[in-house]
Amino acid sequence: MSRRLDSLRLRLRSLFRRHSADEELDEELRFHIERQIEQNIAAGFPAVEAHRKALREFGGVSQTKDECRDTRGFAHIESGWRDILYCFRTLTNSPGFAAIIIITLALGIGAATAIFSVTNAVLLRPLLYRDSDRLVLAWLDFYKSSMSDAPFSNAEFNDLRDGTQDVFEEMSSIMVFRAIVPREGGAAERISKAHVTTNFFSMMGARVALGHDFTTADGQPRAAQEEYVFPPPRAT
Amino acid sequence: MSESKDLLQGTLDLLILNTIRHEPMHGWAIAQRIQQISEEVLKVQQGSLYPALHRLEHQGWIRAKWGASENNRRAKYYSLTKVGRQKLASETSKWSRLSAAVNLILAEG
Repeated sequence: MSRRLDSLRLRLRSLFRRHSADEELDEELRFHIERQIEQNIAAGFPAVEAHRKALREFGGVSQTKDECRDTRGFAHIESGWRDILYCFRTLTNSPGFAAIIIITLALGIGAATAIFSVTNAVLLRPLLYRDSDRLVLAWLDFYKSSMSDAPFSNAEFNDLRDGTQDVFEEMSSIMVFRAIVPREGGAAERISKAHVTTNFFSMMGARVALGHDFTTADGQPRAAQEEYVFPPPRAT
Repeated sequence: MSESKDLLQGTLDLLILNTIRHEPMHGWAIAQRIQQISEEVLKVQQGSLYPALHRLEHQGWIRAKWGASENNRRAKYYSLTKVGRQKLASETSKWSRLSAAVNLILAEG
């Protein structure tokens, strides 16, 4: 564990304090060469020759430095950063080209994002209703009068519901409108409203926020009032 | 190619770990010691030595610390860590087994 931490500490140090790590490496290698020179002098070489000999034996300093740097582990990030800087410099040399690339990318990313957000909302994300994978929507189309999206009449709805009981588990109906209502201050407000059958909310798994949901009894037509018609219909 | 390089690299690691097992040493002294003890047979070029030292430090087997050298200059001293000591023991026995096996084969010829 502490070994991992040590290694991480070294890596971070070499990333954020790259210059200091490089300087330390320089100093370490310089010390090596100086010790070698001293040894050469001790062995009887004249100073200049001792110096030359030490450097010659030492070999490629920059190659060694690169190899040491590679062991630090963040070398690829450093070189990646260099690539980005190079790319940036090249682009600033040809601003027109850069602008075209940036606009192309922006439009492309924007279009892709827009398409995805619509696809995500419409196709990928499930509807918020209960059993949304089993919900279907039915409506009327009148081809001859080229009228589509037409509502069922009450009688048609009842026939459809009663005739498809072995197909659909439940059927409810909704019809949406817009309405203008007066606000308290006298201004007008446009609202969306809908007529629904009594089972609509329970079928969709919705809860009524205030008050109580409709009951089946609410949907029953009231008993006809006794009417008096003049003149009285003739008995047949 | 890469296998023989691996073998050499592992051997150099083993030599370095063994050289600094008693006291912290700087790079130049490590190279000198290896050369002396091997009776001038093994010459460790700095081009292999320093990358190896830095790699071993990153693996957590050795630890580096700046200190004053024998000629009173700042030098980077390397010493074994606990893990490095364990590694040295296991690598040494591995090496003994390997060289003993090679010797057996050669002795038979």
